[in-house]
Amino acid sequence: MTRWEQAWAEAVLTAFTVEGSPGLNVDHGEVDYLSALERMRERGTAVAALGLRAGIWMVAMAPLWLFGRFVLFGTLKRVERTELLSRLLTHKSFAVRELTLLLKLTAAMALLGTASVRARSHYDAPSFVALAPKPKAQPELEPVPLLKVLP
Amino acid sequence: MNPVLEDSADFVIVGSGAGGATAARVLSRAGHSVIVLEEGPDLQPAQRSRALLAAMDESMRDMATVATSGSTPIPLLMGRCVGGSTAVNSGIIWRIPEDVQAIWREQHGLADLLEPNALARCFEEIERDLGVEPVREAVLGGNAQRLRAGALALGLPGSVMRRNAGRCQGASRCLQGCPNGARQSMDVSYIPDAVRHGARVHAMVRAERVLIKDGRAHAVIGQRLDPISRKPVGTVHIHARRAVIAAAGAVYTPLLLWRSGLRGRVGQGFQAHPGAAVVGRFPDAVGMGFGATQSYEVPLRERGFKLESLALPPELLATRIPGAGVDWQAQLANLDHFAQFCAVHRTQAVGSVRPSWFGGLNVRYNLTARDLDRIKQSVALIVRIMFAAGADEVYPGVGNVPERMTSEAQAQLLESPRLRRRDFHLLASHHFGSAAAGNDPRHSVVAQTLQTHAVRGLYVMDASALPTNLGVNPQHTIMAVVQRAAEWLANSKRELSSAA
Repeated sequence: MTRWEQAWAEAVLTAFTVEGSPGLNVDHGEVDYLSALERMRERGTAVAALGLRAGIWMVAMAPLWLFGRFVLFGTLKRVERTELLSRLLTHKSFAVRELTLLLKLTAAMALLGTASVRARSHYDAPSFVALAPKPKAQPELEPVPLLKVLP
Repeated sequence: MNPVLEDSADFVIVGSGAGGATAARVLSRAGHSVIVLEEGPDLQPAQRSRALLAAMDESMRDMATVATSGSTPIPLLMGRCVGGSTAVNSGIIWRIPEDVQAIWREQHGLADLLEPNALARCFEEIERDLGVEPVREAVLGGNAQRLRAGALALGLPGSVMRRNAGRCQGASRCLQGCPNGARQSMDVSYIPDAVRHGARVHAMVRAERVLIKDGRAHAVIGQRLDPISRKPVGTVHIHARRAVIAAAGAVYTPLLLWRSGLRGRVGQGFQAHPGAAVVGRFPDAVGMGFGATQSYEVPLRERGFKLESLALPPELLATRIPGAGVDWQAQLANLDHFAQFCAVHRTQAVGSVRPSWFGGLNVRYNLTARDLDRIKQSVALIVRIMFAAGADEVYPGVGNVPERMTSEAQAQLLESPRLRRRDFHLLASHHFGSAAAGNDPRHSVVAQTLQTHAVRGLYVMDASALPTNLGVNPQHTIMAVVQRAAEWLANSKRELSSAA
């Protein structure tokens, strides 16, 4: 990706969350969104990598084709960016919804893949983990008798 | 590129999943020399990453981004590591249903392969060896408890799953790989057993084609991959004195056969179990992060689907919760309040697998109208179950209907004839039939012995050989069918390779 595509990508991926939110508070400095994006692009199929790139272009240009404003995504106010992403996620077009969802997946991978953020999500609630039973021994595999049956 | 690996064995097996590992175990225990080739890495349980991005990179084929072609792609989930897809599935064990057996016997001529007593013995041995048992109440988990409560409230026939994870400690990490080695996937059970009996495993080796001379399989040609970059670092030539066994799964086995020059029905007859999932929010804590990843199911075979509890890693759960920004973050701060159930569909659709123009693959697979009806019914039923279990908000994940449903009455919106295939998010983790077994070479690729009709000494021992989908989780059926065929092969008259 070019440098300006990376800038677009960062603007898009960070816009799924708002710093200082009363919910899952996220400091954008603690989450490495671009590394997650690069890993998805490098390790996924060529079609998926193309989809991620197309998704970034689509969102970057969305103010024009969705709001009718001649500006790029990165120039929108924070609250407008989030509103735009929410509208794209429920868009009537399958392609628009799916490409935006792919970007949301990438953002969520980066976000919840960050241990400090995950800890604040209460996903690994200690009260449930404490219920874990102690392991029991597993016997070695028994020999399998082979039948002399020919088709 | 210089050859960096040359080796030989009686049997060369491509793939280390349910089929390849079972064949390796049976053949090595019978005293044959066996080499197993695996494209992915050999991961130890303690090495498995908890973070989904790293885990998918390590063990999933192409980060789970392989998908069917067309305007509404369905992702195809496949493992790529020692153990194959058994190292990323939930270890759910089902014997082959009677109605499927009847079809395979009567329409595909597989009566010997499915001889009832022999098949039952194979199932029993596998269940004993892998410690198959119902999930214990202690690790059922809150997610499954909600499905059980909802199913009971609606009078649906649910039950605790049988899994190959008797020592499950409820880490809820089957997808990333069990960190405790409790799930008896092939990488911690049959492959180590085969190795103890002399089998050798070459990980990070991609099989490209089978070398065929005079109508007989002689060797596997491939590439050794760098463990970090996954780029080829050298060629591989593994000579097979007796046979080559393709066990790379129902998507990649037909590609291997195709690249080796086989045609006819190769790649035809591809089937799957597309799945759809629904998330619900509960006023009290569910605790999806603890419990067996999957542990409760509602089999509705007569309706063409099976409902299952399916705990998600937090990354995927967050993606499934609607919206963005402050509202989304408010939900993410309470990820212990969500549950997810899914439906696995026994669809009619039949597709194909072919190499694509650019060296990749092309999986054609289009759902029928009846398939779509069943998906609508199952998703609507899950929404009803969610509310019956006490959910206060349900997210069906379906386009062109409300993304947040707050009453059971809204479930009927999901059965609307206006909804089309592209409104549903589907994913398929069970694949079948792309090199089907049968007694008629015009309609099948392999015989009952699982040897290809076209090439001697070339076998298909994975879900490709299963002629149809099952409607239940396929690992146990793959293993039992392969065990039976591998026992025949282990005891069959030795055929000397002319190149030996």
